[in-house]
Amino acid sequence: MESIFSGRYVGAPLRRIEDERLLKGRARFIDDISLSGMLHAVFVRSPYPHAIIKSVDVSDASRLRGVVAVLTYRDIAGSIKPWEFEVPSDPMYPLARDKVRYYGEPVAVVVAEDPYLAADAAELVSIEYEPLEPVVDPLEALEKGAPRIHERASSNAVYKKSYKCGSVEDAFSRAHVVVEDELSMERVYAAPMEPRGVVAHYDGEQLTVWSSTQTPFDLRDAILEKFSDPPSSVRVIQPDVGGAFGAKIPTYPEDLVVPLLAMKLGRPVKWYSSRREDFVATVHGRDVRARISLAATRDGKILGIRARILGDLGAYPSDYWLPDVAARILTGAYNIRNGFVEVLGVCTNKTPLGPYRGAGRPEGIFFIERMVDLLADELGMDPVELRLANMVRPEQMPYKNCFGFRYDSGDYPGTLRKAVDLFKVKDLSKWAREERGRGRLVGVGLAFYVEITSGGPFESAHVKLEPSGRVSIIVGSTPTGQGDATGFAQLAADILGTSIDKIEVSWGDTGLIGEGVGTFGSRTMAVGGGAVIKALEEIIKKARKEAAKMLRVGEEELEYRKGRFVARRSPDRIITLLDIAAATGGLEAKVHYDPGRPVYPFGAHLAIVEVEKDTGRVRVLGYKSLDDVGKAINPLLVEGQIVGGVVQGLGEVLYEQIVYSRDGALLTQSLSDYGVPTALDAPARVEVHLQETPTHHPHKVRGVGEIGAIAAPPAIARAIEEALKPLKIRVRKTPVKPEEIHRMLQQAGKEDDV
Amino acid sequence: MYPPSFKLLVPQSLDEALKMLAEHGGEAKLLAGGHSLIPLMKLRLARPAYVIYLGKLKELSYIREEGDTIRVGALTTHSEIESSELLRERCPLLAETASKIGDRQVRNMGTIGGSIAHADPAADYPAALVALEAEVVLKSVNGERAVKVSDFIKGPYITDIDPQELITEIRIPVVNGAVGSSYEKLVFRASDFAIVGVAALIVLGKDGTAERVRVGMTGVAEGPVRAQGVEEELEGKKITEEDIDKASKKASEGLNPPSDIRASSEYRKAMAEALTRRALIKALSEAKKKA
Ligand SMILES: Cc1cc2nc3c(=O)[nH]c(=O)nc-3n(C[C@H](O)[C@H](O)[C@H](O)COP(=O)(O)OP(=O)(O)OC[C@H]3O[C@@H](n4cnc5c(N)ncnc54)[C@H](O)[C@@H]3O)c2cc1C
Repeated sequence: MESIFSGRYVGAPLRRIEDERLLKGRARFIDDISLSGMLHAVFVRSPYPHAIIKSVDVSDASRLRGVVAVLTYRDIAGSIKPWEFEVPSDPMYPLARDKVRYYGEPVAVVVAEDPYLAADAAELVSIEYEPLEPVVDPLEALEKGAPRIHERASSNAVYKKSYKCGSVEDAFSRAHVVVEDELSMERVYAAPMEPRGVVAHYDGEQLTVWSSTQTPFDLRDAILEKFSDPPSSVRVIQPDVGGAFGAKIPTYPEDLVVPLLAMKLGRPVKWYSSRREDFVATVHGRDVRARISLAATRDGKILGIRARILGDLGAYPSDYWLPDVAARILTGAYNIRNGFVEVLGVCTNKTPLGPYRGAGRPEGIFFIERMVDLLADELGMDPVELRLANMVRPEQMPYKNCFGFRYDSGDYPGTLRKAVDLFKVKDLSKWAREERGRGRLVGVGLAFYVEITSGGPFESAHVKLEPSGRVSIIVGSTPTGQGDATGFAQLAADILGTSIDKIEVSWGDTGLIGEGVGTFGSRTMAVGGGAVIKALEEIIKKARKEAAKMLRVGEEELEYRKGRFVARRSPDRIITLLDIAAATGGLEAKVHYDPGRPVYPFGAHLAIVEVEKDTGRVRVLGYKSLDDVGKAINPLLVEGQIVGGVVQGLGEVLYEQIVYSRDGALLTQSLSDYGVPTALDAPARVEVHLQETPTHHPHKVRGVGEIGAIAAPPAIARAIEEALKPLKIRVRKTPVKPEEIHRMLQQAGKEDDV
Repeated sequence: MYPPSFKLLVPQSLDEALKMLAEHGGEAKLLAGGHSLIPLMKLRLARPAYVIYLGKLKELSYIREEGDTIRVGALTTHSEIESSELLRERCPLLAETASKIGDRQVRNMGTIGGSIAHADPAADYPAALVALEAEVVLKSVNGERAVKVSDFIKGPYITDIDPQELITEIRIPVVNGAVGSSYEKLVFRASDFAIVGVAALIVLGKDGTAERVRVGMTGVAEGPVRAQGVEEELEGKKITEEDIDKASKKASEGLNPPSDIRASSEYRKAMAEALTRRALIKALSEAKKKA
């Protein structure tokens, strides 16, 4: 096939084809779904983080007028199998059986004619608990005698693994310098604009479920696997989703209980979470800490790395692999050949941990980038020079890092040098030095990252070229606001040589396409796009057969260009795809695309910050990025992803933190207590530069969804340290709050004047 | 979040509202902008049997200067206060304070009467109103009384209001001459409630000495407080920046602010000093321009 990059769409910064219906209010989010006779569910949740359920009395609640059902574990015990996890732990029941393990765990569900009545009745459900001592701090959870969260596990450290390469003892004994630090990224909440919700309807044969999810196929499969008496047919629909950020990947208890209720009661049922509820009932992210040492020579060659990574998995270890990702990406962009990392996943009495934009890579990259800055300061070296001296070189690609990740391609040192030029780092640093001389606390920080995309087993696409010339693309990808449909349409329009107006993209419905995987891990344009291209190629192949017949030439005689086949030796013999579609009643292809190995985007980000001396407040004044995203199918969408990720990363370094009280109650349960940044907190402009190192995907895409959230925390953290020079202040954790900066300034001020 | 059921009453006049209050008082809640009451009802922390909606009482929405008093009707919204020409001219401190409340949606709905009645310990107006020595006017079927804002707010969400009473008006004494003022609000994230807020007002005499200095603070105590140590330190002086540096240190004297997830008591004290300094410096430079 001729290059897909010669058309007018691919590479153009088109506005999103998704937007018109969103802007005109025609979107249908979960709460817009209203079915006749629909009932409303409210979950009754545990006010204790750790307790035995002694008894549940639903009689008062059931008697309330308008209440249709009140169910507890006993009522659904035989109907839904519990979740069993891959690491030692007790099962998680869709409604707690005899024990609750986190504040907010669902214990009962009330179904009523309207949500007000359901909420009234929920207050009347009387549950007797015997509180157990909770443990919220993962370090305390590791101590002997700490309250045990899972009876089946021999300790709260339910996951343990280590990775190594080379000889770390040797490296540390040869080292001139060893730096060591403790770093952490605190627990955060994804805070999508739309909380979760589920609607289910059963017509006696088919169960239809709408869920604000990223993984409708997983949900369908879970219903089929976990229901002891599953319906003969299940269709899961992902309506418009108002943001997800990874937190809508898991299949949740409510995703199964609400459909079961619809089947049991014979009426449609809706559950739509409130924001407060979403704070406890939707997975949290990050919550990983590390103790790390780097061994280096005097002239800045990093010889080895030693680390212990500890992830707080919360009450159920469904996503125990998250700290593992942090551990394995821990050498970042650097060629470190001796290493040892131990990973621990610890259960505590908190909402379960789950994926959140970056899922392990932000943590690993924050840790290594902070350590490299620390080493640079210790050695008195320019952090850029230190990075350049240790980076994996292009001739080493593909490069297997110390802990087993195989970086596919890229010129890391070249990219860093280019970033230093593009960002005008020298001028900026000079400016910052001068401003500091005048008393302003401004600083410039730079970070470099490598991360992983294109994961997951496969993605699917079903493309139809109608006789009318319209093109329908159905994908297994499940975007939740990223704009991938526009990118897919751009690919299709160029490959088919047609106008983008002719193309319609649909997704998020297991009734439209039977098999699919979904949108997460920055995979959609890479893997989902790969599937779309493969389907289009299939169509062209079919068309070529028809064209050969119709033009009476051999298939190999035909050249395909922009929607038409031309016979090479008799160029007057031409036929368009459209003619072929019309003559054949349309062409279609259903494919699975296997992404093969993962790809590794990389790049450099720079932040300029100002710290207010009297309050410790930090403001990000400017931000620049250079990212190797492979081919940017639509640079406007790419920019949107980078800016959004950067602002989320900014929130994580400066404001966001899930806080539990010592006795296990969630204290941050509203958006006024939990600091999601707004546009007013972001820099006025993020200067985005893109670079393109091709990948093995046909369209050479690398992936972009998570890089902002990965790169921003270490860049901003460094900028803060620079702003506070010459004080030796270190940013060891996210978030770093004004109060802490103020305290550090006060302490330093006592020692000498700022 | 769904509130328990309640009965909605919609009086068409102040008299009717007062009669409803006289009848249902203890069981009723007045609804003005709803930006504090409705969240509380949705959390089921407030469970009024009756909600009396004040939105039709246009007679309570005004900003007027009469004699030596500025009168602001209880139902005047934050955005009306923020953009009032009269206030910008005659009492810029109140307009500035209003402009720093929440975000535009909140300012378009929330009212000054609702804010004072709600008495959130981090609310912005109270800092300015105690600095301005304003009064709250309360009315019931039994009559009317006026109370100083500093006496009216007794603690977090606690005021000196009778269940049968309604706030009709805020009265602010006009300050003439070379007046400068400023409201400094510390938030970590745009549009948040204040960690600490400080309102400062300086009146300079003909020879440049400070005749009056007022500093009101929010977020540092059970309710709004005046930094009297600071005021005394500066009154009667030809204030310099060094004087302000020194006096601001007294802003936290005697304070024992709350510690919570947003800030510790220690930090709030330090911020009371830092913001007092900022507010006084701005107020002084304003006042000097007018001297
Ligand atoms: C997202 C958000 C951000 C906010 N940020 C800030 C901020 O930064 N700073 C700030 O100061 N405030 C802030 N607020 C609060 C806001 O200013 C409210 O509008 C205000 O506190 C209450 O005014 P209201 O008119 O909405 O009152 P309502 O919510 O209607 O009523 C509040 C209380 O006052 C009583 N009440 C109302 N009117 C009267 C009256 N005339 N007489 C007697 N009682 C009455 C009600 O019965 C109720 O108890 C914020 C609110 C929200 C939702």
